[in-house]
Amino acid sequence: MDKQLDLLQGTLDMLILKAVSLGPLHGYGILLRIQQISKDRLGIQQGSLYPALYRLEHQGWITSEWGESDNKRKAKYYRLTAAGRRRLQSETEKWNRMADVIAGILRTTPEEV
Amino acid sequence: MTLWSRVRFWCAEILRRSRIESEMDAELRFHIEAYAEDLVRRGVPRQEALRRSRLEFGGIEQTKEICRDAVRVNWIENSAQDLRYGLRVLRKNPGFTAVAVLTLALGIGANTAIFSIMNATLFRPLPYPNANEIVVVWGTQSGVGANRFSAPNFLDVKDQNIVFESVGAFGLVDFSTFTGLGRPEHVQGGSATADFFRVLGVEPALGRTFLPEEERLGRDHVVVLGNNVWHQRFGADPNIVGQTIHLDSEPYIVVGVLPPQFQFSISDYYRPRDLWIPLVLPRSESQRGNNYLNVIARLKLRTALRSAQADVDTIAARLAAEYPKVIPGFGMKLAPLHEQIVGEMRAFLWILFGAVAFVLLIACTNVANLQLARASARQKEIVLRRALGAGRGRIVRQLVTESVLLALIGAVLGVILGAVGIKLFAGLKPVGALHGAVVTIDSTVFGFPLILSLLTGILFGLAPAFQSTSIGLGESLKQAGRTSASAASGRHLRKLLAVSEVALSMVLLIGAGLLVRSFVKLLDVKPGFDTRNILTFPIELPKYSYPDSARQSVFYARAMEAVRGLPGVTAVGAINDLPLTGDSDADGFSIEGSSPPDATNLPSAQDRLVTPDYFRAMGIPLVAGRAFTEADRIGAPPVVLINQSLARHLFADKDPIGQRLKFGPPTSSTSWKTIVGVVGDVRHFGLNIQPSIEIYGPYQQDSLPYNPLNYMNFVVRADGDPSGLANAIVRQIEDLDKELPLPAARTMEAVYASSISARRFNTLLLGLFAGLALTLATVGIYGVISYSVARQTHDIGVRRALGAGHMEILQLILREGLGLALIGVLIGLGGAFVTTRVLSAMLYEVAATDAPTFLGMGLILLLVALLATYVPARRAVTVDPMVALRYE
Repeated sequence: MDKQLDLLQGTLDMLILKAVSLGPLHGYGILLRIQQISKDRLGIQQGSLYPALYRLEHQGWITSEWGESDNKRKAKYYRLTAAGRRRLQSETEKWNRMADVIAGILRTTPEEV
Repeated sequence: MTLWSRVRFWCAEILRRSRIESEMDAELRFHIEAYAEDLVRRGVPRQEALRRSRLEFGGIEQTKEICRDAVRVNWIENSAQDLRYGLRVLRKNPGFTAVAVLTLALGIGANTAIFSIMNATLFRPLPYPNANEIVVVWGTQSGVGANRFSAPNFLDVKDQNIVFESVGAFGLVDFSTFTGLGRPEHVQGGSATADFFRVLGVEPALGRTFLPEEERLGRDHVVVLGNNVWHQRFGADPNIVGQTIHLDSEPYIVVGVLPPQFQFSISDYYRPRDLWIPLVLPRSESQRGNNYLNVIARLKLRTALRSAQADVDTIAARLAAEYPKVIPGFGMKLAPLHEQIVGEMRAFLWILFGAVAFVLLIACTNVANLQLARASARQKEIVLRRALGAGRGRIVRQLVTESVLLALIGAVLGVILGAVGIKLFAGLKPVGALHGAVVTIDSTVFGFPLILSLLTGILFGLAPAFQSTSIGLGESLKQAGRTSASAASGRHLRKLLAVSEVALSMVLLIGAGLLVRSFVKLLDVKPGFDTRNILTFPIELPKYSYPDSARQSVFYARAMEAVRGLPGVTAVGAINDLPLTGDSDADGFSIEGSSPPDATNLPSAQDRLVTPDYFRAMGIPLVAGRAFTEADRIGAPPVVLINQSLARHLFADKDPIGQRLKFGPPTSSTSWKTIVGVVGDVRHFGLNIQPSIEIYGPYQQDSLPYNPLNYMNFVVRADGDPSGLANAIVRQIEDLDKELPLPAARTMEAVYASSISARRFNTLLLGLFAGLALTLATVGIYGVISYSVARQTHDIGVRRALGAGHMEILQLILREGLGLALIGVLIGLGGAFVTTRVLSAMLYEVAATDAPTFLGMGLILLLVALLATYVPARRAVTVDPMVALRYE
């Protein structure tokens, strides 16, 4: 396994939105989903997940309801709202543009300047 | 938001909060258990799995706290929590709470009282519409600063100016008798042009004010009643308008009644009037130099004071050029009415305000010190809370909430104290400028202590709060168990606070000391007469029944005879201008053979009319020659008495007896008067004012330029306490003339006391504040040293065990306390040296930098500091070394 990368500042929100966009998940499930999609290349401090969830819910991008987990336990499930979906889209576009620009800059060779 | 919806909102908030709490618990528990189960599935033993799961999750409580912040339940929750907790803490420390609240209440109370007075006098606008447009117009003439106006000058200004919306003149008319319902009474009337009321924008309560045509003779027998007179003399009769009343037995028709809030007065210059009659202005050139009118004007809309001044300057210059002989160098000066009314009061109030601000600062310092002492005792609690996940800001907020709570409780108590203070202040009837200003605690005044207490709470709470949370977590955990070694910075802060307290109270003490010293010097001043056992009362004879001085003097002679016959009376005299009452007349005079014949530069003397026994009754010594007798009357050779100052200044070593003087230049038509005696000097204008040169004339001789015998002050000397005589005297006067208003008698001691009442008041008040400051500073020093001793108990024990004697320990502690006090005193002396000059105008024969006062007060403060240090020092000495060593 490669060494885990630390999460970039401000990207956790985006990852959470992406994770729940694929279907309702409880907090622990979100953590697992992100680790699974990233093939364990990202390290997430478990405790930092919840403040982010509460913040996103407070902003109205995700919503929560209590349901039953796979092993028949009560768990709180998060799902994306319509506003959250728009947010994820715009965040994704912004991120892609930013990544292009940064990558372009980093690719630049001395002759191109 | 209505009350009900607010309650519903709060209920919903509380429900929401408890739901969020339980959900958060369940959610985090689920996470940790789910992860643990995954670990168990991977083969980790259950116990170990749970432990690892918790560990990897991180601080659960911190996470919760951040979550709460994220959904904003914290703010309200925390405030409520802080408040509850704060109240509990305060309740559990009743001693601390009582001292802190009382200290703050004193500081805030003093500030509230002084601020209310400032609000009522300086800040609140005058009770006239657009009062800032109203100006007082002064005439100036070469050599005379602020003067009244003559009728022709006033009329010219009124006609020629382009800056006044209206301009009115007013004057005084005293009526000896005023017949309404019941006995005739003396009334103080005002005379005013129709525009006077227009300038002030007065809306009468009944009827109207004057019409312009009522300013002419024949139409002028109309009167506007003041609201008080209307109530007191006419029982607030709603049909008063149109009725006829008699003033000095002449009929006047009532045309209006003024509203209750109308109380026009200018301190030391124009007292409130009972009623008003029209002012009739003769447009006669012979009156050009006769200045007797007061003038006020309302500026036109959007006219600046400066441009108005420029306009009247032009008019004044034109008039001065036109009449160079009559009104040489005539000018005009505009002054805002508000400025005129608050004038002298302003400086004194600001001084008082500075004083109470100092007191409040000292109070804050004290409470900050108390908080600091407590904060170090609470170090353990604070460290524990931080370890459990409370952020530094959270703890600072908790501590500041406590302080603000303290301050608010202090403010409530302070407002009560302030209200009592204002009652006392009003009861002392201090300064003229309070005339008509109603000092109350209104919403403005109430807001003041509120804001003040919030500010002070934050001020004295913030420093200790930051102080006690500034130590790093690890370090403070290490320290928490011990009390002997507290943070050095905390100690320094406490010392700094103690030093500044001492310095602030030093400044106040010196200020008060200077005033007390002036006052004592003033009390030592001999007024020139014997104040004991004298009763005095004024008699005013109406012109219609006593039209000439012959009839007037007959009445006085009979009245004196009647009073002299009363048992216990040893002498009876009368004078027109009683000393220490502010009444006076002055004229230029020349001395036979020594004054140059030209009139321009005559010496001016105070001149008064007296009865023969006046000097004996007052106890004024006859220094040379003889006093007047009843034989000094019209037809007899004209005679005068002079005072010692006149004899000294103008006769030097010559004997004045037998010399002659006359009023006016030597060439004037008046007669030469022979000086028959010299009497002692009297401080006529006040104890603090040097006697002027004075000439006395006998009341029956018409020897002065102006002999107004219609008004005399009787002085009755008794062989004991004179106040019992008052009733008998009133009966005697009543027997002589049933139509006269009843005289109001008072003792000469009361006259003397009221002449220095303003000074007494200032001294008392500043003294009170300085005493307050001294007490608070003493408590402050005591607190710092006690705390320091308690902290050093262990050290002291070690020293004692190593053989240190009582004296050494005592010295150690005293040195610390006195060292602090000395630094404070030195800073305070420096501060006082710079600041006490604001008091200069209030001092009498004491310099603002009076060395004895500075040194004496410094010494007093050091002694008090010594005492405050000695008590805890004694305690330190008596500590058992074994107990001290074990002391933690």
